[in-house]
Amino acid sequence: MLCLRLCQALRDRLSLGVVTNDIYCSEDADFLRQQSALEPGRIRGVETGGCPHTAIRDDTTMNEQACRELETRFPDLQLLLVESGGDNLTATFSPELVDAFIYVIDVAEGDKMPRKGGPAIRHSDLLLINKIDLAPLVGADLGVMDRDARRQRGNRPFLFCDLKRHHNLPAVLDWIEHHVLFAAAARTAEPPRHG
Amino acid sequence: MNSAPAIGIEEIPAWLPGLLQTCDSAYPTGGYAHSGGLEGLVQAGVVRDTVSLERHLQEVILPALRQVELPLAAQAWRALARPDWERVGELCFLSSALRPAQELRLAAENTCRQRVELLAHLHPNSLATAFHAESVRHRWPGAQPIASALEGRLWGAPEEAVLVSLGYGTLAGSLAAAMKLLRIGQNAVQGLLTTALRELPAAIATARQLRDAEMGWFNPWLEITSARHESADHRMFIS
Repeated sequence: MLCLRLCQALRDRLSLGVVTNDIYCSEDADFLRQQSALEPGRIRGVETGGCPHTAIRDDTTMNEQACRELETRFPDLQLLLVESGGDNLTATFSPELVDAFIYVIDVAEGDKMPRKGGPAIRHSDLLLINKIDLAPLVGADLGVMDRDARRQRGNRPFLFCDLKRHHNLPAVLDWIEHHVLFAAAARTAEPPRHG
Repeated sequence: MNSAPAIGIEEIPAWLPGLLQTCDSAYPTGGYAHSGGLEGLVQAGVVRDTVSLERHLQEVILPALRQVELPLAAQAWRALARPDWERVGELCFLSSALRPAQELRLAAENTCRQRVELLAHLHPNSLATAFHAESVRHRWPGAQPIASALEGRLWGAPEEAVLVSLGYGTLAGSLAAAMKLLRIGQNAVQGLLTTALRELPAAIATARQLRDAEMGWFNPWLEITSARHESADHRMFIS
């Protein structure tokens, strides 16, 4: 949902591409194409096999190749989204693959999730706690999640969202513009990487 | 043009595939569960980026290999030739005594025990089953470098090759853990591994000459952060 919302919000202003990861299908890429998130050629589904988190950290070859393919096909690309990892708390992105790392958890997984910690909860550049509309239905206490997210992340940012209904999407876009795109523009001497 | 001399398949030593197996990611060396103290150093901010990770390799991992792991493996490889079980037992206790931090000691002991049990299963009625029986009878603490020596003996590998394999596995394992703990990618890690491997022959040469009284190495940072890591509220690795 985050990829879809970002594509919808940014596609008229930026040249975008998306690489999605699934273990043994192309469900996420198919979803984005069906939703007309971008023109189909700008969406590339990667079947990672095995554990998708290894394809974004330990051996990023498949994702690197997919990114290069999109960069070759669309030389004007300004933002390339790499979606992966499922809800694996140990998932992190290689800094050789991406410039910034957003980790999304789901309120329906329970209000224990921020408390569980791990490198993604703690050290992602931005943590999104999504589907807050489900909190009363699953008995999740957003106050507990807020307290634990602050404890785990210190000064690193996190946001409560309901991306399906666009709740707090502007805050996510604002973070991307200021902390990813503006930062990338400042690194003029460096070769572009994927975000 | 390829300047490397061509050799026939029959000239490839029979022990080579065996040692390669011990470096496989699916081999139970504890690489998925243990960082060898690295996580504690990362949490303390001592290791935080590529530069400090390279310093960690130079100032922690390579000296520990040279002064502890490699000389223990060399001595054990020699003792297992006869085999001299009394000497092997001494080396197991020495290996344990050279690891002050409890979690580093337990990590080495537990993974060794697992490896010896696997070897006894893979090589029935062999040196491995005899080692396993002796270690149970005399309650030897497990010792990773002794397990490496045993693997080398089972495959008929020379001492130098066993030490190269142990050194490579230790360096590569540390860097694999670093990828999970730091923002560092596979290309940077392979660069650090390439550099560190150039130092390995010198470490092996020194290690082979060391006597028992000369073994040992101590880094206060590593021991203190490992002790703290035991009770850390957040950790990816057991050690």
